[in-house]
Amino acid sequence: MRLLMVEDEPALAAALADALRGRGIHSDVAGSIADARQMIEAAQYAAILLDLGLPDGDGLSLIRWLRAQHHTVPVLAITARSALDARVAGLNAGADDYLVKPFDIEELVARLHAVLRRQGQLAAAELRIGNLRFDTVSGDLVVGEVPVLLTARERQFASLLLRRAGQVVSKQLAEDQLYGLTEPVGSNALEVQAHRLRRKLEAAGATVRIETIRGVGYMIRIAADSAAG
Amino acid sequence: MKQVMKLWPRSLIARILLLELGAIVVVAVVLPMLLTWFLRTEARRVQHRNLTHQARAIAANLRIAGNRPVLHLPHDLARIYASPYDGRAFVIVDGGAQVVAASPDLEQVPWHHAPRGDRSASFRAGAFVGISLPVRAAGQPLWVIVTQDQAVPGAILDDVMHAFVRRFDPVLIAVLLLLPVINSLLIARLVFAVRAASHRAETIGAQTLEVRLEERGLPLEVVPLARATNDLLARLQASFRNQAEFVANVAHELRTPLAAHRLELDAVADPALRGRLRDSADRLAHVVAQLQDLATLEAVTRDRFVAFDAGELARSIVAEQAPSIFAGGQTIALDAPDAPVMIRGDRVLAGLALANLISNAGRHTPAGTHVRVELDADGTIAVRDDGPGIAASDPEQALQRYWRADHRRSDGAGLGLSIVRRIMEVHRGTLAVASRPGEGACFTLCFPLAGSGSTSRS
Repeated sequence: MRLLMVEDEPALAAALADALRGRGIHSDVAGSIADARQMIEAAQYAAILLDLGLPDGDGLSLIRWLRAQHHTVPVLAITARSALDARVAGLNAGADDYLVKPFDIEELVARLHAVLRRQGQLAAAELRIGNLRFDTVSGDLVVGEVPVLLTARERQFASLLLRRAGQVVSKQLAEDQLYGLTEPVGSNALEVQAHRLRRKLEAAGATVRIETIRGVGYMIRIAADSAAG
Repeated sequence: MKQVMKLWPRSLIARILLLELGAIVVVAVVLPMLLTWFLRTEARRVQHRNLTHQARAIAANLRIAGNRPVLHLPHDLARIYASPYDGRAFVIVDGGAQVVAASPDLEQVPWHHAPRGDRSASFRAGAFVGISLPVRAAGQPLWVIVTQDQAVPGAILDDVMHAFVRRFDPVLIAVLLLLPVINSLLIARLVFAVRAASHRAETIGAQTLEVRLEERGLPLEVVPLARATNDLLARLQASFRNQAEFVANVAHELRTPLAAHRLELDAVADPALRGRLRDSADRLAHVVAQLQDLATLEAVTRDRFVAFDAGELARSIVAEQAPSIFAGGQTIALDAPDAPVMIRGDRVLAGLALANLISNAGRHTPAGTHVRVELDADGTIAVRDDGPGIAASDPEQALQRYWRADHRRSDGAGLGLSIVRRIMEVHRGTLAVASRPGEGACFTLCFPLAGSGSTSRS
């Protein structure tokens, strides 16, 4: 995979390029909007990593130019503005997603994959977290080498949580996905599902945990004791 | 001198009243005296003219008969001197003080005192005034002397004059007293306008620098002061903005090298060192983010406020913060009523306040702590933890302790509380804290409910 990095700060560009190369992602660096335009016209990139503060203008103008050219290449914006400022300014309007400096390289890669997936460019059939693998097509769940048998609802629930691993899945969303809008849902039906799934994962020796955030939703994450070290 | 200064009032109205009343007293005393004197002088002049006129009329009737001067007074003129009433009398004497002609009852008139010079002269003798007019008849000098008893007709004049002044004086004083009343009213209006401007000025604080003093309605003399104050406010506001902008720019400039630093430290081989470096980079990033948030808050205005569901907000913020809370080994839960709790404010800012409190709870408590977010139907959101808490007798002191503890930590959590406070100020809400050792801490945000009538005031 090759992406275009539009970044005018050489130190950051070099560090980022190195970090990405270590994860199998190659990148070309453009130092200005003008350079970026030429490179986009000359080559095909899987995604664009765009710093919004550039010497020859606002990075958002590049996004507008891309969209005017009917370029569908996904854009992940990087901003030095604060998260609050960015939200107040409605910064995310133009880009597919945005990150605030400084960021974790894993976070960047995850967002990049998410953006590519949304574009259908990355058909990731298998989701991995900890020692757990989940096939999104077949719905097969494997912990280590041990397959875990799931009911249809548990499979749906696991799929929902694993697609958003490390993030909270709201109760509302889970109920809508698992039970649909017509089916009556008991107040603790979801908690029962979570409890069963949690027991099965524990029994299989999974290094991930399903956390309940009462009043909010559920989250699957790598358990603290196995993440250490 | 000092005591005199003490008596001198500082109030403008009191000063004006004092000076004006003093002036009125002086006028009330001096003016009648002056009037009396003017009237007397004028009366005397008129009298003198009258007497001269009469003397000339008599002199005009002098004839020469057989080398001797003879007086033939016409009837109407003679009648004036027929009776001794009011002391009217005349006499014509020669150089040897021999009477040539005279009115009856001459013996009652002290005409001997009359000077006999070569110019017309007036004289005074007892109650009588008179005039001595030199004339020449048949080659010899004669003097026509006319007198009048001032006591009799003069008394009438004096009485009239005194009565006039007595009646005129109260009218005059009444008119003069109107002046301080009118002045007081004018000044009271001025003071009222200035006081209104002062009240407005009192509402101006660091967060309300956009308020300006109303120049309209102020007297022209006070307008420069109001204008200068407004100019000062504008400069202050600009300098506040500049400061906020400067902070935002500095933070902005720090982010890019920090990002490079954060990426490159991943290459450090020693995991312990890498962890420490990453922690310090994360702390730096946190401080930078909060500095920028504070600067952004300076530009926030209340006209963007809307009504929204605090329950929905709490759910999304707890969901957003949950990963880092769990990563720290703590747990979190939300208790909120099923029905929406509509509050009024800025959704992003209210979310930031709640996120800061949750993130603070995560930073200040050990692993295993449970953080509970409680939303009440009255618009309060409490962030409660069962951590070690902090000893403080009153909530404000507790807040101060957290503050100082935060600053010792120097990871920007203290800025976090500043941000929460500032956000609650903008919302006209409150931030409260309760904490006891061993019983954890509880931070409470209280937002105004939508439709509670506390809509934005201009």
